[in-house]
Amino acid sequence: MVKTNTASLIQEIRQAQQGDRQAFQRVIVLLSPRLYGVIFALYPNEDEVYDILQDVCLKAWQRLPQLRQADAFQAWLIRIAVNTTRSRLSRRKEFPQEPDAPVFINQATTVDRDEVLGYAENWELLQQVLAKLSPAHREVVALVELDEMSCAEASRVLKCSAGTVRSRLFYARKQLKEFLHPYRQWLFEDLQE
Amino acid sequence: MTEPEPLSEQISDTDLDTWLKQSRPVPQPERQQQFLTELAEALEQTPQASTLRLLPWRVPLSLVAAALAASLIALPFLWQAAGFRQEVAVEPVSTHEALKLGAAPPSAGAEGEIWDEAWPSKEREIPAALQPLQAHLADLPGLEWSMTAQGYLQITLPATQQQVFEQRLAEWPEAYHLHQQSVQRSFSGRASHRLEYLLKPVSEP
Repeated sequence: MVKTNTASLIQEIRQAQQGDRQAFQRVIVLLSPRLYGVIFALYPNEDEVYDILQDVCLKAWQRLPQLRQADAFQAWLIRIAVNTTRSRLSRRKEFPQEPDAPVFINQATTVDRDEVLGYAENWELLQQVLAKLSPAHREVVALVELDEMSCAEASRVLKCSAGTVRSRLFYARKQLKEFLHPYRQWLFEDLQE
Repeated sequence: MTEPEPLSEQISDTDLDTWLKQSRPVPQPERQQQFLTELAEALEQTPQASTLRLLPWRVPLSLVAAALAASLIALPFLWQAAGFRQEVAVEPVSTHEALKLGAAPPSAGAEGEIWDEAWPSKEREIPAALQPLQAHLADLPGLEWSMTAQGYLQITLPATQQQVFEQRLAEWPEAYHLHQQSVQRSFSGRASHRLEYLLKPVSEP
């Protein structure tokens, strides 16, 4: 996952700002896995992720000449991704919309090992639990937990205070633990091995 | 009240962090390649914002957009002004062309004076010559009578009765002058629900 702004990346971004499509494509080749991760976490629907990703890249290409600082490109791109996904979510009521929607879960429940093993990969389980989070909580999990941004960086992308990010993160992590609780025996024993 | 869970049963922050790192979504290489190919095609057809500014049609388009915006802003005012005129306008249905039924119209001079002093007076009695006509029309619902200072019989009636009323008048054997008063129209253009006529026998001076 590319996060640092190397000199060559900055150079490619500047060329793209001058209208160089090939340079822009090379930038996207480098950054699209990161974008994919963020968009997937925000909109955990495999079928939609690439559609949103293309939308984000085309918007970025169109507006790239308006970007003043090439070294701010990655945060700018992530912000476009967040806004585009928010817009898509507002049109499709597929996931919870309330920022702090109450979650009811039976903590005493445990799940059969077969059911856990039915999830071929961890990220499929992640898809399930992210879909249960509210959009605001998914955003902080996507940026801070999965994309490894600092709370300050995430606050700039999300246009809210770092304190809000930390607060949302606290509740999001609590909910994640509750969602994963039924699977704890199998998931975390495996982790400890 | 449920007992708190043993500490070992809870998911620790470390476990959650580790699991999140392991679960990080990663694109499949084949699908990723397909995406990049499709993106390259889409990019070929997508100009950048700065390029758009240089296109020659950009300026006329902005002028058209500005003109359209100005029109949209002015539209409510124009609409309101037009609506006001419509509301106060009095449509002369037959002021200059009297409805002629059974006799020749009065002279232009007399006709021009009709409306100035045609205010009805309920106290004024209906002349005997008009009473048979009054009886002939009496069964029409909603019909009201009064006499003007000029000796005209002012008749108001519901618009729904217009056809029957004029048919009855056509059947009347004696000559008379008939003027249909102005009909005030609503904003939507629909006629008022009541009509007004002035009627005077030809034999009257």
